Amino acid sequence: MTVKMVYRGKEYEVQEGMTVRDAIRKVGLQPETILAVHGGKLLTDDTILKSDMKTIKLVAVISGGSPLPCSRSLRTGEGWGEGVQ
Amino acid sequence: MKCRKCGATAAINMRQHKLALCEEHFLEWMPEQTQRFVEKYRMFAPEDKILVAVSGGKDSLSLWDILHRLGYHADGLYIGLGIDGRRSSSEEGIGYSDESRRLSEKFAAERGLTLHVVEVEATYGATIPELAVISHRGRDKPCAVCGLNKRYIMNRAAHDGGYNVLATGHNLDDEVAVLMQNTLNWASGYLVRQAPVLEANRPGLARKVKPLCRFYEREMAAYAIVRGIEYIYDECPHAVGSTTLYYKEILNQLEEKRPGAKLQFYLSFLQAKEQGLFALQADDAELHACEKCGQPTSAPGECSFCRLWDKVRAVKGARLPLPALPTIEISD
Repeated sequence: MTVKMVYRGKEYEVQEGMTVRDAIRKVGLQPETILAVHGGKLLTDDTILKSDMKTIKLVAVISGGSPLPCSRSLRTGEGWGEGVQ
Repeated sequence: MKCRKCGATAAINMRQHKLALCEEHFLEWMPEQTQRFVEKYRMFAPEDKILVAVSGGKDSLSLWDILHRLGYHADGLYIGLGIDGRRSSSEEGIGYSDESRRLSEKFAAERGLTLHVVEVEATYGATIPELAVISHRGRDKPCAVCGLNKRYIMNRAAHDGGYNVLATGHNLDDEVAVLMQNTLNWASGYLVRQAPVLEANRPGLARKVKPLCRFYEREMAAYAIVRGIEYIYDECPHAVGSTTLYYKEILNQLEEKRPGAKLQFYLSFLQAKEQGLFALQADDAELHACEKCGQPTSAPGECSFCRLWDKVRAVKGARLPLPALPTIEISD
């Protein structure tokens, strides 16, 4: 079973059973610059990904570097987590 | 991973401190630490009137939130730069500056805080990107003129508004990126001035403080998320590909292998400065009042801000709405 991770609008599939930190590394991102959010809650790096998590939102902690030049606000709280872009 | 304080599921693990905290205790820890830094570096006292430079980003809004939670008298200053960032006017979405102003105003309104707004175009007659093109400064990249304008407007707004302190949301990652750049260039003049507090040691200069200078960028983003602060996610479009972002990336690679490397770099630097590693160069050049606006400047005559805008007026001429440099009108 896999878990979906969404980062800046791009989706990645990773195997369940990995830690958040390993999954972030696996898709070529830098764990120090990412926060993982599930259901509106932050996940620590050692959290084991489970298939019932379905979708993890990855948030870049460093602003900038986005291919999109126009702004997008980051809404927190409601709407975070599963299946939310 | 469990919260060190209560044993509940942790929300964040700060490897540099070997400290994991749940949401509740993280939200307590951040203002506690901020207060500790404010006192350690003697930034300000409860009776001081603080002006927070607000961009709509996670750092400045979180700083304002924390100072408000700590009970300080802190008002906000938003500077409208006129940066759009969309590829064309037909592209969907809202321009960068418009969105950052909207978020700053929303934040202030929700908490009943005072936000002063200075729109550069409405006040002086051109947007920052226009200014960069007309002035030919910074090879059409607006960052140089943007920095000049922001520094000037922040200092002047603090002075005109009767604020003792100007607070900015620089985090540790911002500070170490600059530190690394200046170290690689052995820019001793800049190194000696990099500090959590820049004293108002000349008439007309505001005292500048960076209360977040010891928090990682990761912690600031986590704080904004856990507090439910809506902030502008993308950096200024002109910052994409900047050297600061490049150095941040390198420093985070180092941090990945050696947790605490960034913090150690910064704290060792501050300690070395305290021990006199960097000799303060003769910095006794007299400051003069700009003959046009009265703000402090190192050379007699007009300051660089006024000279820049004179140049723009000469090019834009009658299209400018204001014949002479206006005073800043701060709108609440």
